[in-house]
Amino acid sequence: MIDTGLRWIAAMLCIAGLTHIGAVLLAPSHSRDLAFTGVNFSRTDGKLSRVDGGNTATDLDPAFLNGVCRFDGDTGPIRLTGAMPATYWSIAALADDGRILSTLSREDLRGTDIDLLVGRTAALDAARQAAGIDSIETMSLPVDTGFVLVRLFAGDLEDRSHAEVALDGLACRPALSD
Amino acid sequence: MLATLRFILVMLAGIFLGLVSAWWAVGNLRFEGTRSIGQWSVQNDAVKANPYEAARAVRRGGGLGPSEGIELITEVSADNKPLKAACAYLVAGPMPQGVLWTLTVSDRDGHLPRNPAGRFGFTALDAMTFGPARQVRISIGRDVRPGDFIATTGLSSLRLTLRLYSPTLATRVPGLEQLPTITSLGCDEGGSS
Repeated sequence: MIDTGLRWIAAMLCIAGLTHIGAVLLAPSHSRDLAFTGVNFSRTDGKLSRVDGGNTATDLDPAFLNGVCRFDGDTGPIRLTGAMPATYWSIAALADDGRILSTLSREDLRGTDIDLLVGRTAALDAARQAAGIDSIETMSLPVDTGFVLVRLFAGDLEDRSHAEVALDGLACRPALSD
Repeated sequence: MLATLRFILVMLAGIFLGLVSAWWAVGNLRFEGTRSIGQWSVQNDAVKANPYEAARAVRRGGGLGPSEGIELITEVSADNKPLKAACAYLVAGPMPQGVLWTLTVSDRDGHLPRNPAGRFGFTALDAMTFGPARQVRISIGRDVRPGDFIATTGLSSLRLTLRLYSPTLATRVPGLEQLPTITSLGCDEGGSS
């Protein structure tokens, strides 16, 4: 009787162990876009979608205003243009599974105007030639799909209003549509 | 018939146990690829292959990148006891100089406290500092305290996240003497966490 009971418990623990390992290993590949689930990218019209604790599971700094822009095989490389505020800001390119692939911050670029091309390394040159742009900052990535996350410091009301103006003024469009 | 029922029960219990333990492990700091600086944990870039870290990144996002800065997290007080939402704490000590920092209070799932002031934390620009070392003194708890204070109303667990925005810090992580400590100010015996 004890033998049988122990056998069942051992079987249950084996199944639990296998499920545990499977769940942890499969989470990154089967949880597509989970970090930004709830963000509606269909009505952005070339603008960044505002993200915060209300529409994303991603743990973002509440002292910042965050905007996100999607790129994939259909859009190709994307071009981010606009004027950044004088306060701290940064731009991160993330893979679908939430990994940060590349980042740059205010210290990396001169001035407040940004013109940035983001996409797979091989596609960037083609997009640059097709769009007829020679001098432009680029963010070369090893993937075709992912997100560009813009973080703008909004620590007080004045910073927040500047950040809101900057975020609303940023354009994020497929580079080949220009 | 009984054997079949038992088989189904064992299968279901095993799967349930596996999923729950996976969910718990992914959200637990001990399984993340972190290095410790006193009570603070900082994500270590060298352990991206850690499957728990990969699953966590899907759920929470990837934290801060190398050009942005570093993110330090703690769920324990200076005496190495787990932080509890029902207790009050004092975050006191220095912050890295010349760096934009933000301190955020949340639960372990990243949910922010609900308080009328909409106060989730402090930053380098709005925290009061004391002395030549510009040390901070920030109280955290359910009952209002004088000075810089963050109410933890609505939280069932407690996590403090200190984000330091500076590209140089990604390669030169601050030492223990540059970071504040979290000490307990007592617990609300009526509350539970």
